[in-house]
Amino acid sequence: MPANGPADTLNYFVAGYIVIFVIMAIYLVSLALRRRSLTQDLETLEVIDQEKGKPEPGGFKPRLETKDVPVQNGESRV
Amino acid sequence: MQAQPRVLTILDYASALLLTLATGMVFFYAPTEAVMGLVQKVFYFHTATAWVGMLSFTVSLGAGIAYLRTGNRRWDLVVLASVEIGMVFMLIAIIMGSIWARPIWNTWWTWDPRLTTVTIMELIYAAYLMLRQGIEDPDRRARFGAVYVILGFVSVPLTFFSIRIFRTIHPVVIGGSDPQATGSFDMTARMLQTFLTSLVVFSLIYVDMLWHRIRLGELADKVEQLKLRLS
Amino acid sequence: MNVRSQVEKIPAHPAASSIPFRHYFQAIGAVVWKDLVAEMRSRELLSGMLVFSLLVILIFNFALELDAATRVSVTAGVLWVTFTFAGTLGLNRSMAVEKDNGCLDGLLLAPVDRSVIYFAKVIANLVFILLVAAIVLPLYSILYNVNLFNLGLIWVIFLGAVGYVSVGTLLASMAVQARTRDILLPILLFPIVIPLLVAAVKASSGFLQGLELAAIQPWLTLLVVYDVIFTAVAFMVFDYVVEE
Repeated sequence: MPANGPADTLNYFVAGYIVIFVIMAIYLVSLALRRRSLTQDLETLEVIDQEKGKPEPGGFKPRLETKDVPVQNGESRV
Repeated sequence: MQAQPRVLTILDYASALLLTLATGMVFFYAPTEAVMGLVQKVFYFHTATAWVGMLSFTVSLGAGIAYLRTGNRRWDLVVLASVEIGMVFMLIAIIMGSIWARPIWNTWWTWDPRLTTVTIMELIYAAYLMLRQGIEDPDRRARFGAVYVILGFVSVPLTFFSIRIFRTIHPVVIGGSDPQATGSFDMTARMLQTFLTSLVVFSLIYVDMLWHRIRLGELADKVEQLKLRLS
Repeated sequence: MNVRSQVEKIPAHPAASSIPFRHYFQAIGAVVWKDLVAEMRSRELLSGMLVFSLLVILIFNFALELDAATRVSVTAGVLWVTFTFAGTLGLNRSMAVEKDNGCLDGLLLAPVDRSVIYFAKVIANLVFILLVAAIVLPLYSILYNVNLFNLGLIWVIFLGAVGYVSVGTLLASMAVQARTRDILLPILLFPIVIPLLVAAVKASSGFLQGLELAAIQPWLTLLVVYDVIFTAVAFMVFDYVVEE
């Protein structure tokens, strides 16, 4: 295998690094998309909640404070 | 959903920056290996991502035990986040390893103990996700998930040893006699630096992603609770 | 329910863990007996597992073209694949019956330690799987003209079954509560049971080929280690699986 100088494995090297970045990017995008979809769901649900006009049921509170924070620029920052 | 904490934003930028730095080091700073050529450089991120995969698995074990003992649902979110991220990074590690193997050992795959065990780990992770998907009740889902993660974690060393013994009695037929021999190399100082930097950078990226994924989990939980309440 | 009345005869203790051993084993015995009796009446579990095993062996006959020589070396593999798959059927069925009939709730209300349920189910499942093996082995011997009456092999089958059932019962308890219950158990079980499978196949193969004990020893050790570790772990986490 060892010839004059190192083997020419440039293609594999490039392929390897493309793989890393592509997979990470796909995952990050998936996180972003899921966040967007959930945020929309949350807004819809909160609207329904307001309309129902229910007093806060005893013994249950969403864990995080629910202020109607508008999502900035409609984009999820990941 | 609460706006992202400032620390997380800083972490985001830091991770992106450091990743660029590490990539630069790999591309330009680290020397080209004499025998294998450029593909050897795949090693840096390959080991770093594999390390993150292992770390994830361990974190999910700890979080699983913590959940069972405390019943605090935040731990369940950590388990889920860690498993998911672990799967992603381990997958990257496996593919990169395969890409490395191809020109060096002339095969895309070998059934050596480490690779086989890691693949089984991926399947255990996948099974965990499927288990969660099949259960409606959030509390039960969290509990069962934690139990499975514990069982899975315990099984991995046993799997590794069983295949190791298997392999010493039946030497690897595909891919040459001893993969270790032809694939190994001595690290120069620059290589070592690049290697360590990659490890640190990916650990940081792991923390960053874990945090994001946990936040996503919190959001999902909120939505689910609200749905249950309103229906 | 019969079992409850039997189990209730055991005097209740304020702390379940302080039940004397005698009562503990009595409780386990009661639950095991219930399962065995129920199965003897319907026999649906055993017959299902048995027919399935034979079908799998039949399929192997066509899938792997076995001449006399290869037959001996793949026997161990074929046997263990068969047991693994038939085993999931048995486990699924065994736990599903429990859940569907509400027996589990009855058992949970009885004043016994939760682990009683776990051990009882393990023992019952073990009995079922060993019964199936006891029938499959002679049949396989006849069909393929291979002598399977080998003490070492029987010992391996016992050890393997113990490990398989320990993990399997626990996972089946979880899987049966999910929507995707039938497909979920194999997905959960198989990756975890691989070390057991590897060791069982190699050990079985070793005994069938008449290798000396020293060569088989590591596999037997691995089997025992697996059994001990997983029985212990399953015992520790079972509470979390059945709590309401």
